[in-house]
Amino acid sequence: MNLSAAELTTLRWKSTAHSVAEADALLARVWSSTESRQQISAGASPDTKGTTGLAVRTGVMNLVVVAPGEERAVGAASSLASLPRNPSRTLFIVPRDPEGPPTFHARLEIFCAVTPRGDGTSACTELLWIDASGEAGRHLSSMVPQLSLHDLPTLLWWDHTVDPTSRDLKELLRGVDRILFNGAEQRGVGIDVVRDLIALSSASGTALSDFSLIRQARWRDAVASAFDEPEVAPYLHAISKIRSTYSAGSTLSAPVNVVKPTYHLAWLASRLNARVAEPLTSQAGIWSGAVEEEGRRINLTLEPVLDAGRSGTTLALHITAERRGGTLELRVRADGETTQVRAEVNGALVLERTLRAKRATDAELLSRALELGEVDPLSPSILRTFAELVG
Amino acid sequence: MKSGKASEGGGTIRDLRIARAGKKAAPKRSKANPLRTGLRIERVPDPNTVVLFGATGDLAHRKVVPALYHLWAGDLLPEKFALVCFGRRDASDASMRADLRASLEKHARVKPIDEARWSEFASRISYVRGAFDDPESYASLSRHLDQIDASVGTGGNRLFYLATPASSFPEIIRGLGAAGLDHETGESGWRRVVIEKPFGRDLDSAVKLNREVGKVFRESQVYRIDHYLGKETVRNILIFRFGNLIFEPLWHRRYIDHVQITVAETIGVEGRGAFYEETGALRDILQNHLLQLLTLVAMEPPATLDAEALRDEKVKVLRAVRLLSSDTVGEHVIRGQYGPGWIGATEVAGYRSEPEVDPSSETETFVAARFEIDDWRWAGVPFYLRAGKRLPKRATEIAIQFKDVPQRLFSQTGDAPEPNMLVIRIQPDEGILLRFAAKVPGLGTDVRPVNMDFAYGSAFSVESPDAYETLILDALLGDASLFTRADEVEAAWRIVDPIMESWLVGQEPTLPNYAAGTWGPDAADALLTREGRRWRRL
Repeated sequence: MNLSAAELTTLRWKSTAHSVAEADALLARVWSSTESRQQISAGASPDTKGTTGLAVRTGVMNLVVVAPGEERAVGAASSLASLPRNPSRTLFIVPRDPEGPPTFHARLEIFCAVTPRGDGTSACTELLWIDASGEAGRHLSSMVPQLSLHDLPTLLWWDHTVDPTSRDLKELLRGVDRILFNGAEQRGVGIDVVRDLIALSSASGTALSDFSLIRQARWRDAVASAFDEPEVAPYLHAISKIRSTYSAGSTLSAPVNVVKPTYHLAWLASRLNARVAEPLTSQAGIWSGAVEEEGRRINLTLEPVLDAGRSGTTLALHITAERRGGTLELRVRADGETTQVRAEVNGALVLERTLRAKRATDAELLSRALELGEVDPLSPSILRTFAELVG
Repeated sequence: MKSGKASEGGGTIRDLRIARAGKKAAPKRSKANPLRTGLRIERVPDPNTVVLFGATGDLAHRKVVPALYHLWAGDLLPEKFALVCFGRRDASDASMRADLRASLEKHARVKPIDEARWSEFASRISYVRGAFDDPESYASLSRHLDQIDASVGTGGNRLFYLATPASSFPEIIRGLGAAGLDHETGESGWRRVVIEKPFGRDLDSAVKLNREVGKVFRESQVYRIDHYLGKETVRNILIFRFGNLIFEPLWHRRYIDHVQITVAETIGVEGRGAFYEETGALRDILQNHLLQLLTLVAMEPPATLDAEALRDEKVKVLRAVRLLSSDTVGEHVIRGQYGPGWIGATEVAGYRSEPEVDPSSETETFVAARFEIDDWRWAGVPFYLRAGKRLPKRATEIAIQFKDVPQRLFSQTGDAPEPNMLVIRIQPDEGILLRFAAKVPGLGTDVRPVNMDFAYGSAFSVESPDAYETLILDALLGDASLFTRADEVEAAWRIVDPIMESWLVGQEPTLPNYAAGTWGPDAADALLTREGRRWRRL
């Protein structure tokens, strides 16, 4: 049910709470008392027969958004507003003033939209805007389970830098089904943070989704489409070199987050069933390593290039393969609207294709991440290979 | 090495020889592209040419070409793709492209049309003028296709799509055969033919058509398309039944009282009066859509999901349907025709006043039937099927009515619980509803039925592809699971034939016998009420 169309979605109920228990009790009372349900239903327009339909809470999922500040939380909420369907309950948590006194303040809201069923039924979603200061902000694991709806999957969107050594994060992961984060926004080169988070989520049995990895779907489509072509397909199991160039920004001396280009290598290695022979190491900003597919070595390189684009962004993926006297050079690039594939065998052009594939917006990424639900056919094997590559 | 290890290399004679010699066979790689695993598109068809017969017709313009365009726009077709339109009309490549573009403006699922995508797609369209009964036209088509193979690299893979009136099928098939366009050899690529329903008008004509097709194409090359089977929710019936453990043990005559399958339409014949006069609800809906839904509900779990295993099980169901005789048709099958009436606060004309319809027409626009399936799972469980035009509501659904609980524990203190019901809604508002009994809050033990309702739209936000997109892509990929096999078509006609024969000689009901905007003739209600049941209110 689309709750995002502004003309249909209306605020039907709001309140405030100063403790987790109070917030929990207020929301429970809304749905259990006839009077407050009527209050929520009353916001709906009467149907053609003049009757007002029931208001029901959607049964989709809990979403917990941890954002470093009000601005990020509002940004997350706007992504949420353009989703094709909404979580049943969303907690926007903004931890503040870590050294201050422990406080909890929540603004509770229920938004409803009339469903297209024609009987006036409204589907509702609950938003909890939570400010947690001091110790309370460092013990999110103490509030999230209590405020999550029972028996619905819980997704944690950590819109923040991750500290995989945090005890609270470790505890939080034990109570959620999936954590969404952005590997490309982690500190330093980023790959060690992602590796540690993979280990942490694996220990807690929590699924892991990285927006950076999801965003690269169009690159994967482009590379895979090249190997559908009869002239290129025979080279798939003869790859000798994979090189990814990435933007270093305006200087080659500062460390750059290389999570995104590393994912390309991890994906290809995992799909080829290759094992890591040499984990990636960096020398003068160039990362190199190797994998082996059925005993054949594939050299891997991540190469920084001075570029005006956002640092860490993949600029191109180059694949070299050799078989029976033929050498394939495959290059894949992407811009805001398209991906471009170009393949040459022994210098002769055999494929040039432009695929219309827009760079995904944050809302689209969130939507895809939420839609993955419990089944993500790709991430586990890519992340496993990523962790091995990083060493 | 143990001898059993040989199978690891693929189990061929070569593997066995290698195993006996003490060597291990190199593992075989699948031809599938492993990079596709887990991606949005897991398989793309081989380079190919689609040859569209009846390219100037309504079906091609409304369904087939928009489906191909959407597949192209979604990167689901290979780069080396061509569409050859074959028709009688004098046209050029350019005029054909312009006509198709104009139709796409009306019928595209996604609008506006992406100009860049259309331009790529249009550049792959060519037109060949020819007559279906002219051998030279097929020779000319063959030369054109060879040129495309050479210039585009489509590898000889060809899908012949017959979007023509059924009366043209035999001569097109013969023409293709005579020109050698059906031949598949190791080097020539694959050849497939898609045939649109109706697959015959009765059992005799279906057998004849199958024979004509079989003289030219092997059954594995033939894709009989019933677009109903491409609908997302119809495909979901298999997932629902065989992907969940909880329902299958109850899917049995021990627990199920009866099954109702309804295809209700609010529309009339919508300008297709001439077609409908020749067809009627029995041939148009019951023989194919309703019986297909019945097979999906009643079939045994297939050993695998491959096309043959699936279709074997469906055919078994159709063969187990008890055939009606001239004595029993009147009792088990009700026909109706709508007269004038009101739908959605609008007055509508009766069937006999529709354009191209005989003012004294006896064609049925409504049919309701009661069938039984004579096998161990379903013996004694009636299947009530109904389909009609100008009914009050558009709805397609399957309702499984369970039996009463064996002991009415609560009947002394309150209402007896109503039996459970499971409803698979196919359209609109696709979903699944389970009705069960619950206690009314309070001091008494009043029992009321409550619904556990799953709506597809609330759980998945992904837009479903059009049925034609699904089915054309499957045909290009060589997956025949959702297409009807020759013996399946014949088995369905074997059920319908006695009904048509009985109607020819039996007494006509007085038609029209239901007003537009009502749920069909009273006799359709009596079909159930005489057995203590009633149609579900939709």
